[in-house]
Amino acid sequence: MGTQPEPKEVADHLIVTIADHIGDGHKVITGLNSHVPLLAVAVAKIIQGKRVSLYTVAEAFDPDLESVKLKPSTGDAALAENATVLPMIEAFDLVQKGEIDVMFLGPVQIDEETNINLSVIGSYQRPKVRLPGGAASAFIVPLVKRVYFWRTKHTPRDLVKRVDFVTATARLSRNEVYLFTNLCVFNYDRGTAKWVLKSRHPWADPDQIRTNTGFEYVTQDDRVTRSPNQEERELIRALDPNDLRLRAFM
Amino acid sequence: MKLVEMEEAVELVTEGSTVTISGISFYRNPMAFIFALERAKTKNLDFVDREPGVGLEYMIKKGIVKRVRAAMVSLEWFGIPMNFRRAIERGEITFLEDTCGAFMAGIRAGSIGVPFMPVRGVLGSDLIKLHEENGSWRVIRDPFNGDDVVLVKAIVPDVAIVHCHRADPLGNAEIEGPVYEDEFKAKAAKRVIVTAEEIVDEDYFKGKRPTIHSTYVTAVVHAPGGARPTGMFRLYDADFDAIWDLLTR
Repeated sequence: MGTQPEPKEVADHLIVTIADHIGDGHKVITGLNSHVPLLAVAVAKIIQGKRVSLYTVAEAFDPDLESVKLKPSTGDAALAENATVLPMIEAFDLVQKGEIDVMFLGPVQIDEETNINLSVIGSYQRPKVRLPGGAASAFIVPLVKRVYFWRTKHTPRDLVKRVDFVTATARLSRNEVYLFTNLCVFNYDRGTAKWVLKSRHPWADPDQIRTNTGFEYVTQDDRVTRSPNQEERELIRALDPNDLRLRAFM
Repeated sequence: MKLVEMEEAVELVTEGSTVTISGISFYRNPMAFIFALERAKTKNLDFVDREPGVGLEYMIKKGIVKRVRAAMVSLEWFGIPMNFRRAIERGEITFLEDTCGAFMAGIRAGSIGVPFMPVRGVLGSDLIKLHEENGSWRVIRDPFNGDDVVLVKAIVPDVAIVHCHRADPLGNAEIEGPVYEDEFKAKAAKRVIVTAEEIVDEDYFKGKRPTIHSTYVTAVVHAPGGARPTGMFRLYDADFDAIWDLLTR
């Protein structure tokens, strides 16, 4: 059983893993409560030099991320101080036109069919836990070219056989679906309709991933994700000096 | 001349009205108006919005709303809004979960006077059953290509309350920075209350297209600092400590 490092190490590692999956030329949307994805986009653009068009829920189009200091809200209106305003309603028109490459979503539960739950634990009408709601997810999950789910707690209660409530699903789409967790990276294979373990973080061993995953998946090969380099670590710290990104990992 | 005092404007929101408000999460919520609603002891409101945060959570805490329809209710880094969560888990309010693209389609339909608007995506979500039972969505076959498509019934709030950077006494209003769906909310609603940081004279808007045109506006209230403690683009930032106090005390 691997020992998980400090939250800061896990967070920065996961941010860089996600950044490594953002492609040159991608059009990317980030939503509320999205410190980890926003930092991943910053790493992809600033350190890795990828040309990425960023549509933020703050309605700032391609804000200057180098000067950002993250706040508790990733809807921070100040992101538009030095950027043009592109309303989310127009970004979502681009989604409907099939022009957006990547959307990031942080589900509470995710299952073997790419169904995600951000609505309720228990029944909808009298929930045990009422969650915040799926925001754009029902709409956007089937429509973007790539869906990037991220979950900082990889346990059998989070990665389940069947979600309590299907807030959104990629099941009826043909798009690419990735799941990034604190242990590994999964990609959904449309041919076999199964999740495939693509790579694991250095601290996660295959048995640990198996025991912590509530659905069946296929292991393709035993690849290990790379650790952040110094430049990437420094950028993440500069943009998030108050360590807001860590809360999700506690 | 639509300039009125806050107390007068609040009377436009009657018991049982469906209201929608400007802004999202921590930004440009019409807080001064919400505090006035509280003082007027207004109750039993229906609430509809895309991604509300502070304003809605405060209204739930004060027992002002009974039914909520939104795509997400979030305080982001601070976690699930506790009043929202508790009120639903105890059955004190009902919550119809929406999804952003569908809310946008519905408010757009309301804003241009058509009965419904199609939206892509959404198929396969359990939200569909909830909305079909509620009468707000319907899945039909696209008559042109035969594929299933979700139709969203026009959203027509009774009152939209929109906090703006400036307005003239006729109701022409300007918003700087992020606009969200505020223009569509104003066009869709039966009555529109603009609260403004600054009142300018009519010349200001001549030759311009206001963010919200006076033709849609019922009343204008001068409300400097009217979004506090939420943030107002270029004027003041969200005061996260004050927000936490407001919602938890």
